[in-house]
Amino acid sequence: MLYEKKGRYIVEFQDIPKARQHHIEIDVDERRMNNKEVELGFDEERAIKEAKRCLSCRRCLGCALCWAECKPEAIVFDMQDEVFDLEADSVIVSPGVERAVDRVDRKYGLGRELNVITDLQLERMLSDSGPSAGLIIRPLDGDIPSRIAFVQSYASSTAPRMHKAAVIFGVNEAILVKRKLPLAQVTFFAEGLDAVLKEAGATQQSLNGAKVVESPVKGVEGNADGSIQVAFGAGDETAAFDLVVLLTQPQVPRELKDLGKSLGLTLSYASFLVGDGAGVITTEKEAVALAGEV
Amino acid sequence: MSEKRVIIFGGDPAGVGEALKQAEAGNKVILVESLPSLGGGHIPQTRIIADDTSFVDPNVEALKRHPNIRVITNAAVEKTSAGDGTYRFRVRRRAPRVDPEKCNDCRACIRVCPIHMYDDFNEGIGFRTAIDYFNPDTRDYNIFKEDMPICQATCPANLDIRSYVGLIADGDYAASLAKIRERLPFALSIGRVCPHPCETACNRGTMDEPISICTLKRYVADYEMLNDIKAPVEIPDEFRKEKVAIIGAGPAGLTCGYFLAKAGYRSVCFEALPEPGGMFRYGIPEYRLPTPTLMREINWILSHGVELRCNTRIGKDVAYEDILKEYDAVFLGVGAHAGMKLQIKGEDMEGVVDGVDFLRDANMGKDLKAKGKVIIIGGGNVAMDAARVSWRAGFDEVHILYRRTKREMPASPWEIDAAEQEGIKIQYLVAPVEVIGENGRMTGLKCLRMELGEPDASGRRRPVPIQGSEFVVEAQTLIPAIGQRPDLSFVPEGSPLSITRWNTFSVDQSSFMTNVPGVFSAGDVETGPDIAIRACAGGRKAASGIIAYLKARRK
Repeated sequence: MLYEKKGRYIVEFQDIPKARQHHIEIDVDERRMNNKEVELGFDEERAIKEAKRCLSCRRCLGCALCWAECKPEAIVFDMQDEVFDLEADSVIVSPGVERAVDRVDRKYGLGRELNVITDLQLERMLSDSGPSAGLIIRPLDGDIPSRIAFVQSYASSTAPRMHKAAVIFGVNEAILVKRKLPLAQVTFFAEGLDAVLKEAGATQQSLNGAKVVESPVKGVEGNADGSIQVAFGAGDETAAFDLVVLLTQPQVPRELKDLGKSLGLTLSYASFLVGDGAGVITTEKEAVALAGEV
Repeated sequence: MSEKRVIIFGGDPAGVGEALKQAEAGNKVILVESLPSLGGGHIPQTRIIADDTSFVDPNVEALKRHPNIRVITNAAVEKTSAGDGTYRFRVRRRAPRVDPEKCNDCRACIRVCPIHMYDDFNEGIGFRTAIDYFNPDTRDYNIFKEDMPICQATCPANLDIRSYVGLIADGDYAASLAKIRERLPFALSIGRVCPHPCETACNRGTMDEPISICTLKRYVADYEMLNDIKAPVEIPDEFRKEKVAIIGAGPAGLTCGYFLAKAGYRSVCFEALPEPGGMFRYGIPEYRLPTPTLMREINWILSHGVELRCNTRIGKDVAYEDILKEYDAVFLGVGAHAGMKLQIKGEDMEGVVDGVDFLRDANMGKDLKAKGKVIIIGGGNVAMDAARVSWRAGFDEVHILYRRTKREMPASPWEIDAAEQEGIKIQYLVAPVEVIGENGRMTGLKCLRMELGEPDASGRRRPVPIQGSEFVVEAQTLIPAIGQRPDLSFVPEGSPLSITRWNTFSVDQSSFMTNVPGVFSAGDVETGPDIAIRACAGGRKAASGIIAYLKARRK
């Protein structure tokens, strides 16, 4: 079997223009008291330059390098999708975790500072099968951090609170970080943490010596050495950390919302975690249930 | 207890645990997971972990061995229905393109794959290749190949952007334009007015700046127009005998008529206003889309076999029931042309004109009485258009008032910039309270300053009035541009057509048929006020729905 690559050729990278081309437009002075078209589009040179910038993305390009390399011939490019018509008397939904990272306020530095990561990213790092094989590392330089802060990305004394599940998730991560790095200085910024811990049958003792600061975080700034300056407290208190972990708010995944809608159900993440999320929660339609966490 | 059939969605530890539990109880279990692989340990989030229980790993091995459990990974639900106590799902399992029986886990493919993308399984930490095993615990190899590139998937009309941009790079403009017209007849117009969500999604944007897709589309359409090339009209030799009525000659209706004609169905397009084009003609200002340009495109669409009847308002010039009787199918694409009220005192005074009405008057060449100072209320693109038209019409001062800050403004940033460049003053955190006037003619607007409070359900911070901050701005004209809704007064009372609480028609999303057989709808009257390309996309899909409906009826 041969995979033909019709008309495909490799463009030399130097040929790909870097800068985005801008459309031509008339001056502001020419616009008053008339309705002349303002934007005039591209001329031919700009159009071709701009079109050449396109990366032609589609994750797998069908280059067939893997196919050529695979000795057991396991790669089948024209494998077809399968469609199943399924019937059931009962439907159970296990919502999993989705977290709205795009709603995190910019002041927490996510996406701006490399050493600010989310709780889910830390979870992957802590996993033995994760990208760092269980090592906790600073994304900037791969160093092992010695000062780590957990910060609630929604926290303020008036704004909506973090979901209890997000706080417990963070506490568990702090415990694991302390277990892996016993000498590290771990600080947990949270208001009203005791109440959440009490509900879960625990105390601050459970945090393995992580320090709890009862204050929301006002913002974070990157320092020149890659460390992160965290501002908190009533005054102008700040502290420097090597790694900042943002606790993010859990929400019902979109595909699940759509599924719920088509079944006539209203699903909220809160209802999933009711009753500590243990066991199965039945929603208003009897046959449909939500699976809890084991 | 009799055996039950159970479907579980979600292959995370909870889903896997539940699957095992149900199977042990004697039930037949199907586990459906959207990712290419099951499992992956998670840290609990409902209890504080004790000594040795850090990660909860799903028991995938037990699951695979259990005779009562069937696992479908990499799957998406396509269709759902429920009834008589039975739930039915159509599930599509995307091909992994790697045969697990033959794969020997040698990783040779991973070493040669040239694609390096953010590792989505690991929350974007590090990179992975397009062929990968996703979860290191299960080593289920798969090739990550999307149905469409991100730009195409984001475009409401799913234009094959990669192809038409590539054809421009090759200099083949005619082929590029033909590619666009496979899915969209309005290349000239959309190439000028589209807020291009495709560019926001463009992967090149993560590298430097996105590809200027919209202007490229415009370029090939302009190329044809400026070089006086005759646009090809591809229609079948013979038309079928059925006829379709299209109500509203806007982006949705004309697109629908175009695709009907290409499939061999004639249509008659009824338009209430004197000229066709809908919001293209009467909503978008002349300086963004000149009428001769638009008319060139519309005349080309009509030449496919769409008959146009302007100045014909349904419910006034022609009865809605007569249309239903005379035509084999009806498409409702009347748009959303009724402006929303501010709901403040004095709104009915002379000098207050709604944004949509103002833009329509401007586009019809009416006298805008552009004297003195004008205030526009709103932060969307209609507000920007109204302001820029006002400035052109000759108002001495043009002010936009918006109740939140620039950050929350829904208008396209480049429209805000252009308005500011032209000298339009935008005042943020201001809300109108009352129109003040004498003898029924407005002289000013009482306003209140706002500050941003806590985030609301949309995640945007809610504007809260500042006590005692009232002030009056003198102005002779006020243009509220805070939203539109469809005017459905043409639907006769007692019609079975169901109308949503947003005053729109609801349709079946695959056929675009309303609850009345043979009556279809798309565009703003179906989606609520939205961008033009979504209306065009709806018009095309509705045309397919109409064709399928007429074919089924013939049998």
